[in-house]
Amino acid sequence: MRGGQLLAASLVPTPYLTRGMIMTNVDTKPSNYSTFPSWPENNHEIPTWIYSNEQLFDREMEVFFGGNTWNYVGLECEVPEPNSFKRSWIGTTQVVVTRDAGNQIHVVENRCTHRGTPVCWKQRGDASSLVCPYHQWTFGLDGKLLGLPFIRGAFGKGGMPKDFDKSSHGLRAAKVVVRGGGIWASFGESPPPLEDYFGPEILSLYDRFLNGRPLKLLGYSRQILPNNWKLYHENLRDLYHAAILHTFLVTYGLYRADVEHLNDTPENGRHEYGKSIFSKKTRDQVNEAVHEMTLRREGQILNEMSMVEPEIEFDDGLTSNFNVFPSVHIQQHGNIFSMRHIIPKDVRSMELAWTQFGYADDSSELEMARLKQANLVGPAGYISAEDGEVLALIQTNVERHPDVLQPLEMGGRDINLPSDNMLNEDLLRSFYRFYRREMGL
Amino acid sequence: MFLCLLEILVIETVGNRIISPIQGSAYMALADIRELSASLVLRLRLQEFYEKYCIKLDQLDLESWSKMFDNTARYEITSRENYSQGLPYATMFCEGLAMIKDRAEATVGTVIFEDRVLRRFVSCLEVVDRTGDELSCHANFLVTESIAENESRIIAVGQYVDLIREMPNGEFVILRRQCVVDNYWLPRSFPLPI
Repeated sequence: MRGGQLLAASLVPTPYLTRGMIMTNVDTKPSNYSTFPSWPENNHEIPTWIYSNEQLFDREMEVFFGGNTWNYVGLECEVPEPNSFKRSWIGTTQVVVTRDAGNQIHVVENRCTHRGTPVCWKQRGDASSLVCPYHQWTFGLDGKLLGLPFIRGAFGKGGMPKDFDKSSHGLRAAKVVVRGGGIWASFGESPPPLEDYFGPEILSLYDRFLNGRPLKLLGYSRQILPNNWKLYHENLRDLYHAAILHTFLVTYGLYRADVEHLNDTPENGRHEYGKSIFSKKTRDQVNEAVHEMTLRREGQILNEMSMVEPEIEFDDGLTSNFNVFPSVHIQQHGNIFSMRHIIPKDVRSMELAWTQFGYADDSSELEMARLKQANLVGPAGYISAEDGEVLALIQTNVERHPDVLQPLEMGGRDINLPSDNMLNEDLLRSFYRFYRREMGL
Repeated sequence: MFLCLLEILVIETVGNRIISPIQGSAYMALADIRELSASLVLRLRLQEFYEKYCIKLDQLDLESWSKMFDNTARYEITSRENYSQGLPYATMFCEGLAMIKDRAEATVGTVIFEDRVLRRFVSCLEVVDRTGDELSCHANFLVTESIAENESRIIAVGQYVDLIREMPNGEFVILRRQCVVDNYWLPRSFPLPI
């Protein structure tokens, strides 16, 4: 079955396999590949079976969330005090993010090693240990099994065998890296250093605004998207739709085909970023590209412009959105700072957990600006709500018709990146080249 | 109206004393009757206001909806999770009437979503506090969504946490409405106010 891996790798153009490239799935054993339906050996045709195949989903969870990847699990400011915790997810595995008495951050699986009971029944809180309610097995915030009732029995009866080893029954603990206020975890055996996993381009976009300046949690939106999680990753890489579906952007001149921007999929297609410069001048200019967008209504203006006229926080004037695959899309759009945590539930649904935040030393005016602009994103977002609608409807159709090949030919059939225009699907072709290599498909 | 008639009837019949409708054997002073009837009338009028709010939204008449808010009003849809932790972010956040109007206009004219019928059900209205002309009120809400080719379903259940002003002319206007949604998850999109 390992042959599937080699075969797929041999189809990839040689320059693509560069030295030092990170393969997430080197530790895991591919299984049952022969049962997957076919997929043409090109970059531009995507089969619809990949959105509803349960076996494929299981494999994705193993390779991407269980492999040598780094997963976003939360912000340090969500566990602000020693002996505090919050729950989170790495793929379909629920974890508890803790800060111990010595200020060390840990990420442990929320599953008692005895009978499988979740040891943490609260979304967040304060605790100096994690006690399973079922039999009161007690774990440290680092996951170590500290003790259990009647380990030596009572009145000379019962109890654990003499050689029962507490040290081998701790909660499964993930490797943890904290950087710039973000908490990253890995269940992989040998994940690369976080910096290498991000790569230089993502790292510079990340460090640009998550630079150690203390963060302040503003709040959450959570929604269930009834679509395969890959459709969401596709949507994030789909430049072509942005100025067409999102009429709010077009109507109010916020993001259009004629906006200066740059997109790429660094680390051999694994991640993705987009950065653009928004100016008032762009908003007011009407040109050829704008006339193509028939939905734009002349003279339409907002009553409250502050929502779309951000305070300048960074000298470079950049707006940046980037995806650290597989778990999060990080956004600095004007004054909106948001983490979109991608939590697959099953082959046909995912949770999208939005965490909005700012800096701890924000003025009240800047915090208000963040709260107002956040209307653009989230489940009720002028922009993001539409993506949820479209993806849910796509899921219904691709599930009914799993044997269709869908074309991704905008901008050609090969992959030319970085991209300085929105009229292409290179980011998507690049994503699936990466995906197939990792999955051995 | 009914209560006013009741009060007049009572005064005419038994002077200023009446058998209390609450405790059969006790008597109630006229002042108490007036207070009771005033509070019941307020309750009916508030209930009417809350229902009008639902009716306007159910009819997708977002322009009329926006007119129920004061110039300085804040409108929020937030989660129980945010509310109970005192977190300021809200899924829908309008500070001032201008933003409420923007929400009304953009939702109906610009944002793309599948046709749907939402119905809002409101109950357990409670005036928690009153300071001058400002009423602090709570009420439960339940919102259903019906989309073609789909079962109708509940998309939100929670509580309105409100500050309402009673105007000199007896009309109400919303100073602040927080729609605190109890459900942990919102659906695929939540484009409409509740």
